[in-house]
Amino acid sequence: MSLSVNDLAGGVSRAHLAMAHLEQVLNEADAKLGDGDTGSMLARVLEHLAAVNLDEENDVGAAFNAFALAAAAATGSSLGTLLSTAMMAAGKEARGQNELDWSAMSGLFAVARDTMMARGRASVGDKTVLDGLDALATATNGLNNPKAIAEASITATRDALARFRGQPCRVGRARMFAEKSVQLDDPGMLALALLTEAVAGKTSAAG
Amino acid sequence: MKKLLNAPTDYVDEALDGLTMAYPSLVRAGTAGRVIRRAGGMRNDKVGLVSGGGFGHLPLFTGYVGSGLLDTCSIGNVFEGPSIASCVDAITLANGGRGALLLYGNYGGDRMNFDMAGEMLEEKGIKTATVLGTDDIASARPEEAEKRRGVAGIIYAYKAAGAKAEEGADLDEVARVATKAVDATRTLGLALSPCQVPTAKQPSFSIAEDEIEMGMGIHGEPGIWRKKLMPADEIAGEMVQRLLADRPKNAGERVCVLVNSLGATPLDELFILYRRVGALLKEEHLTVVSSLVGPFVTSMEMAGVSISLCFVDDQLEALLTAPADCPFWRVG
Repeated sequence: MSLSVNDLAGGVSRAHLAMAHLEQVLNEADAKLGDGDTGSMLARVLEHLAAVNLDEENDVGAAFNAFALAAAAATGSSLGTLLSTAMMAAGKEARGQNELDWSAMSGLFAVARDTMMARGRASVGDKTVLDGLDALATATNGLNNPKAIAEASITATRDALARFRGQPCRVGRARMFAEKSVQLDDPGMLALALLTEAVAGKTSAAG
Repeated sequence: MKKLLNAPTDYVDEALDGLTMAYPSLVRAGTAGRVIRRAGGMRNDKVGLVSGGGFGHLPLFTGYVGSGLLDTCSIGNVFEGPSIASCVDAITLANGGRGALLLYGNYGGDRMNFDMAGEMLEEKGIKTATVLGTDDIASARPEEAEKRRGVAGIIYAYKAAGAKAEEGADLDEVARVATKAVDATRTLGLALSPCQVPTAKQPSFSIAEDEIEMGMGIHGEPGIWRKKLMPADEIAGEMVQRLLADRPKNAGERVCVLVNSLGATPLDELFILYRRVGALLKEEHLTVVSSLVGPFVTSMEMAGVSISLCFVDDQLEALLTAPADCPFWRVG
């Protein structure tokens, strides 16, 4: 069993559909620490991603690149740009391959984490989406079964949220709410957890 | 919150349509129409001055495209940075062959997108330099001044750099002057009521009817304290005191003053504040070189003010009083 362009498109489609109810959930979470528009931004990005036509595309790397360009065109927000940057890096990793072994997932999460770290000038431990990605990379390391990867991913992102819930945000706008942010989820990390569930085919209630 | 709009998702593009229809000196450009450029196009003999940022702050950023000010501006969605593509378009359109200065506020999304656009264009031979607006004294301590956000005071950097570029100075000199203006400027905000991103279901923050927040940022970033509303003179007194306590080490005795509405606060109230601000500066033996009072950098319907002081020397005074013309600011 291996990861193909169809799998990517299917994951994007499920994430896009999930945004119908996640949009306001994420907006509300973001409003506690930010502008209150993370959900709307991600809904717009995923709408653009879902509209990418991959009918004639077999190259997994090229599909990631097409998603990266679509995300970059949809938003200039920090999280959206980081997402685009991560998909561009994943595209480089998978360039020229029509199928990826599922065991490559951990490496792709790690590449996404490291690229976003470099571009966003944040670190693992700062209570951002990077911590969710770091948890994904660790939890999926050595797994090559899609069902096992899905289950490990859901657990990892949920655990990351719980682990950081007692800590303050250290970067970005949320760092200014250090005390308040302690008991709140980082909106980016929350979005990753909820969308991981959606991509894995599990529905989610609000955070 | 009540807003005059058609669809939340059309908010930015329809506002830009109206802006450029009302002011033919501004033209929409770029592949997504998210760049504003001067109607006359770019001159080949000057450095281009580019800015950009999220929408929702008019007249910032797009309104300051004009002679002696910006050449182009890239625009994001409300409170979101401009896309990389819009930044590439804005820089390309501002490049007359002598490079472009990228002058924008210190926000993560803006920085990432302008950085990536600059890196892409450098490969095509377009030279760029970057200066970040960091005038908001409430957003970080003086020893971490590089982390401060850019707010209303950035218009002084636009004006100084724009005037220098019009003189025909090279990119390094225009960047040096922009940095000098940023270093000379301090801003402090005060919020009375919130605003709401059009696509969101609730305001970006909540504040009690009888409360104010000193130091709040233009997107509702937390400030220094939240207290009960107090008389305007007391507010002006504390804001001026905090700004002067943070003044640059080499600050002289001449200042430019900006008393800015964040959107909903009327001119009447701005002048009530200015009355006290002007008196306090006089008591401090500071000479006011120029005064700006009005909505120069807003946050949609947010009520509140910001006060900016730009401490000038002979060079900055000359640049800030040199002729400039855009729909929202005319000098000389």
